[in-house]
Amino acid sequence: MFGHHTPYILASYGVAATVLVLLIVASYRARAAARRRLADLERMGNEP
Amino acid sequence: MNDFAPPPVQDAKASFWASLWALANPGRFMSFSARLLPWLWGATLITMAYGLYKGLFVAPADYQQGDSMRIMYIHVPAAWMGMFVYATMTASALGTLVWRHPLADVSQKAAAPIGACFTVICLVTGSFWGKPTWGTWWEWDARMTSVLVLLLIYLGIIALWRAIDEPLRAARAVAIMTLVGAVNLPIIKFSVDWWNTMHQPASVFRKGGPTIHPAMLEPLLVMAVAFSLLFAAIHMVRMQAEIIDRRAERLAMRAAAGEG
Amino acid sequence: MIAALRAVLSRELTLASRIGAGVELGIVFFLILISVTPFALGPDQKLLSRLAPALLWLSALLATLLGLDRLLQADEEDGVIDELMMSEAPLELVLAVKALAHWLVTGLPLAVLAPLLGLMLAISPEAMLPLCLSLAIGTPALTFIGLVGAALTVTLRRGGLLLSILVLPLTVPTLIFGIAVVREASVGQPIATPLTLLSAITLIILVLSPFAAAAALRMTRS
Repeated sequence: MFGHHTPYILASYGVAATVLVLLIVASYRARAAARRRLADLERMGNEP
Repeated sequence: MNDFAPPPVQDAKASFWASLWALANPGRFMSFSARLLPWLWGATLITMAYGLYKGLFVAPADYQQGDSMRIMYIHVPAAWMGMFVYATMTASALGTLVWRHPLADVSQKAAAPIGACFTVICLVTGSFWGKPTWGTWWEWDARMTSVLVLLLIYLGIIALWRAIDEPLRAARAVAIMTLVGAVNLPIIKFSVDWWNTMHQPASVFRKGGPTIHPAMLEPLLVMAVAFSLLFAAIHMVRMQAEIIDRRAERLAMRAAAGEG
Repeated sequence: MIAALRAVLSRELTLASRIGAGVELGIVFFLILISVTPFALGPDQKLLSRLAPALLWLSALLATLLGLDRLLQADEEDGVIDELMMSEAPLELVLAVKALAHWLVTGLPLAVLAPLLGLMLAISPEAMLPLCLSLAIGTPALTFIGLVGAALTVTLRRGGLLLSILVLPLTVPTLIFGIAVVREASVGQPIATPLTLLSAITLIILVLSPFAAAAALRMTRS
């Protein structure tokens, strides 16, 4: 598609996409884990 | 208790500050950000798609470098974001130390990994750009070197976050470090530029030519906007996670104290 | 207030001379680094001579870094920091005096010794005095940047490595201009520009770092 530069272009855009996707996923997972933790603690607080 | 009612709107600047303080309440921030996030992601996707399309397929290839200069549409905005995120951290640091904004330290902490990621992207894409263009995987030119030093400062700040347990003390320490870095960064940039011209009398252009063709400028700016929106979205999610974590931490401590 | 500051200075220097502050250790480390690099690079005089400014400066930087956790750590453990914070002299000045004392026993000896070690690396004779000068002006900057890092990491148990990570990127300007002074002198070029820039950077750091370090100490007390 881009001649002999294609692997470099693909690698660049690919690395950028990978890093950003990993960052997004990690951030959402951190938020989900925090929500779970809070829910567990609130439930424990209500039980006894 | 703070009164969070915003003052009467006098001008745009006053209402900006007013809105920052209106959001100082974590609960308000959570509901505000929950409503804003979908729009942020939508805007991010649209601008990103447009920028990528223009950059990869529509913009002309460079006369000398060929298609490899399309990497610039990631590399340069990533560099800008590395600096923009640091500026955000600096403003947040001032918020922590000077104005005592309750969410300033959360903002600091959330921003650091994002900035580090952008600098890594900048360095890696710069390397991939350099290989077909100049034949080497790494060039010690002024921009790459400055971004590398910026990455090292980011990593130090992230390490400092993880080293201190208590969140408020950690926030203050990191805030001071961030400000020290902010003062130093212009000096570092200047010295790296100077060092570069000392060692490489032939200047190395990395923007695809001394003047940017307007057709190349548009995707560049669009990608910069897309990255900024992306940063805003990820930043918000990370802030939410941190706020929830702190709430959980307070509950856990209260539970432990209750049982003790 | 001057009396209080002088007391701090003399205390630092007395401690340094009694406990064996690592003056000797810093110098020995410097010597060892210079001795070991030819093993890595080969004994080629021309190569060593070209690299000498950088090698000497890098070794001085590392030697300074290693001595930095001594700056505040021991005092923190002994509760001296709290006392100093209650002294009648402003904390910023007290810290500046501590850093100055630290430099007198670590950085200054390196600056004085460097030309001798430079001989081992076949440094050109015109570069010897500029080497001394650049280190004498540059090492205070290293110490004072280290002061801020030390203040930030003082409460941490194994803060030494983190201290180095925080400090090193900030030493880049001093490193660049310090080495430039020596290199320009080696090839007979005028050293005014890098020397002025080096001095300016040192001055800025000397002025700002006590404030940052004092803020760090104050704000990280629980």
